[in-house]
Amino acid sequence: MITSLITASAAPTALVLGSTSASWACAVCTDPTDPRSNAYFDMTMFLSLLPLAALGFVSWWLYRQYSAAALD
Amino acid sequence: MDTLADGDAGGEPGAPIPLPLRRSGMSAPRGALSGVPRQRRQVVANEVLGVTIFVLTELMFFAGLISAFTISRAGAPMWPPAGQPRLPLEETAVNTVGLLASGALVYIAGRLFTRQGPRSARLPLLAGLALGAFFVLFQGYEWYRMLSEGLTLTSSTHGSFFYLIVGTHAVHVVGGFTVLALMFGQLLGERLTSGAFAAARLFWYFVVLLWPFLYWQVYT
Repeated sequence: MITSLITASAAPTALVLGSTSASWACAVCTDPTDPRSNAYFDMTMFLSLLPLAALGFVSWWLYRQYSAAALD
Repeated sequence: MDTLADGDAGGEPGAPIPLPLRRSGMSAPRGALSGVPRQRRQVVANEVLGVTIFVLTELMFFAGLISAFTISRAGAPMWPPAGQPRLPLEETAVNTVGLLASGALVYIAGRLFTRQGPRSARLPLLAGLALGAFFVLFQGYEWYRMLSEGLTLTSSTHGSFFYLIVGTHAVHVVGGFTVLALMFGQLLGERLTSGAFAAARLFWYFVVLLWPFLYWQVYT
């Protein structure tokens, strides 16, 4: 099941990753002369990682609360 | 959130497993089939969980604002733009310390409320509220000065982002302050529940801890 899912998604993933310049999703990301390119990259990383970090922290905190309650 | 803590209720080790479960290969949850009602223990208060989810969404909202601000700032030839007043860095630093102290006092109030009873939390909570009020009033004064110096919502991108980000945070501070003030009223009337107080404190911590980051991004 998982293998077939990976196989099915490999082609579209390769297509997307191989054609980023054609899509022009971010007009300045591939232009090193644009002063905003670093800011775009930094903020992309920031907005991508922040929810993961926040949800990870909350999950860890809930797990700790649960473990403490289980020990009582 | 109702969550069963492990070991709260256990079934008999030799209790028979119903046929459908045996056929499906599933194991029966402990205590579910023994006829003993499960003892549910609340691990996190409903109010706290609700505010936690709310804070997560608010975090992303502010992250979006900061992201837009950072990209706009990076594209500007100079920042702040020519002819626009500089933001009061030192005065706001003092105000930041006041807000952080307010957060610390509310934290102490929470600890005292849990360990020594509601009465002991009154003074630190009142002091924390006073510092929160000071922060809001000082921000209001700062806005008045900025407006009189020509920094308005429409004067430049700098002004737009300043009032948008700092103003949104100020709305949150006022909201958190109002809820904490209500909690203080309930504390005086000895009607305050620990779940409600913890939820209000959680929101205040968010507002307090967010501010130094906003200050660093917007003012420096």
